[in-house]
Amino acid sequence: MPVPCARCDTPLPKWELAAGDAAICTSCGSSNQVRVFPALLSQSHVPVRTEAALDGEAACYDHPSKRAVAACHQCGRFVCQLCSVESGNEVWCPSCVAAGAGKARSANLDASRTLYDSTALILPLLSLLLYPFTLIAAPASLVLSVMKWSRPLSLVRRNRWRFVAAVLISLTEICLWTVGIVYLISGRFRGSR
Amino acid sequence: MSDSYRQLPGHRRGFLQGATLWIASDHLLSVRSLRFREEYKRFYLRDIQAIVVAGGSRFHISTRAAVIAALWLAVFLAARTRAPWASLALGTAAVCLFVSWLYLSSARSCSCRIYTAVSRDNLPSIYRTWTARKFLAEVEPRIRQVQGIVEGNWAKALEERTVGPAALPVNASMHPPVPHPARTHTLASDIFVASLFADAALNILTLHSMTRTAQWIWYGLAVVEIAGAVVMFLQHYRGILRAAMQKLAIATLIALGSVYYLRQIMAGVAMGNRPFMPDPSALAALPSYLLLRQVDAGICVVLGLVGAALILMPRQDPV
Repeated sequence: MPVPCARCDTPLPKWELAAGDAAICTSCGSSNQVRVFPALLSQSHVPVRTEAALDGEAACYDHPSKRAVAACHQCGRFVCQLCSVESGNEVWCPSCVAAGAGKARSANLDASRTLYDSTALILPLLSLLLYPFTLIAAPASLVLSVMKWSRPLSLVRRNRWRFVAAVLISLTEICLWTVGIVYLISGRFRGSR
Repeated sequence: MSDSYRQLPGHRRGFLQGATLWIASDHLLSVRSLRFREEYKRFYLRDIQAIVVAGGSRFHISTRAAVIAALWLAVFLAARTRAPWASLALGTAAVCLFVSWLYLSSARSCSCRIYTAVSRDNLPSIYRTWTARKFLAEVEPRIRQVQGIVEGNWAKALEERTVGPAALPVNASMHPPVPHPARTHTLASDIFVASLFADAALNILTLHSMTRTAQWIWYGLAVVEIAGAVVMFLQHYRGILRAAMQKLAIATLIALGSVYYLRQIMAGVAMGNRPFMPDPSALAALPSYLLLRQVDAGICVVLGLVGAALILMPRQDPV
């Protein structure tokens, strides 16, 4: 199949692609810029085939009938072609990747992360919409910031300013509530005297 | 594997979702932000088969555009009574800004898609043509450095090859396929919509005779609405409820908060220094308060009708 249009998936006309890196889609009329790389042409999409282990040959830890092609850089288990997970110059077994062991952990293979710093910051700010809720949200944000301070942040953002801001805003709100409550109580006492 | 990332051109700033692209030594990282969570997808430079950028309209309202609009509104409200020419100047500025946004959205926007042997993904952060140009200028040399250059007529060679995965659905993106489609409504959303109608009815029925009891019922309904909204957020997060209901909950909370603050301000103005628990009958006599309650009732009816329409919407099964 030729390269499809990025908007409507209609195959782009081959004669236009042959002339250059751009093509107009015949269906939606959008102008497509196409960049093709050798991975497309060199790769034949055949499934990974593991070879059967002969007598005396090293076998895969998880598939004893398959020939081992490498040893895991973390645990040393033999892995077959199917089980080998390549990363950079190293090969890991699926168990080490799943468990995030050793370098597999530092490789940051997470598919998602919860942003506790953003949660802690948004809690006291969002509760300002209905300010009585800051009475609950500010301490909650403070506790969250302290408890999750050392948890890993976003893969791409490395600083903890959101936690710092959350703590400052929460403390301000708690102080304001304290002052307000003290003022109300003292005012009532003055009124009763 | 290096884990130091450098940001690539393009940043989609949405109200609830955002997207950015980052590059490491051997892969691109597509980051989809959902405010409290980030989802990552990696594209190894050695695996990228093609990048296609298609021009077309993208009418996206970013948070940056919203901030500009809010600033404009603040300046307009502050300046309209002070200088006679201010309204005209600000009106002209608003028209220019709107026309610029229309032009950029319709004539200078694009979609970008990246292909590997097993995936085809849209890159949401690349949605303006100049960003796409900068992105390609940065990424293309890096991929060529890893893979080399295509020799010969690649367009002819493509006849025997498949771009992207062979049997993947058309709009496969970063979301994994959901085995069970999200529901249009749940018990929480039903109670939430019912409380909106009840709120509207209470406002209309007690428009001229607000009592302390009616006020407490109103507070109770507000608590039900907030609790329902929180439950709906959680249900949407867990994939049980559709996004439309979650958006309705957000709109309701914003309306609820705005009415609450306006009511406090009006009570403060009317009652002097004791606005914490104002006398409801005295408040009900204020014409501005009457108007606020009419508007509140109207908003509740509209939101309730939207909610009812969402509940009655037929459920679409995945193809």
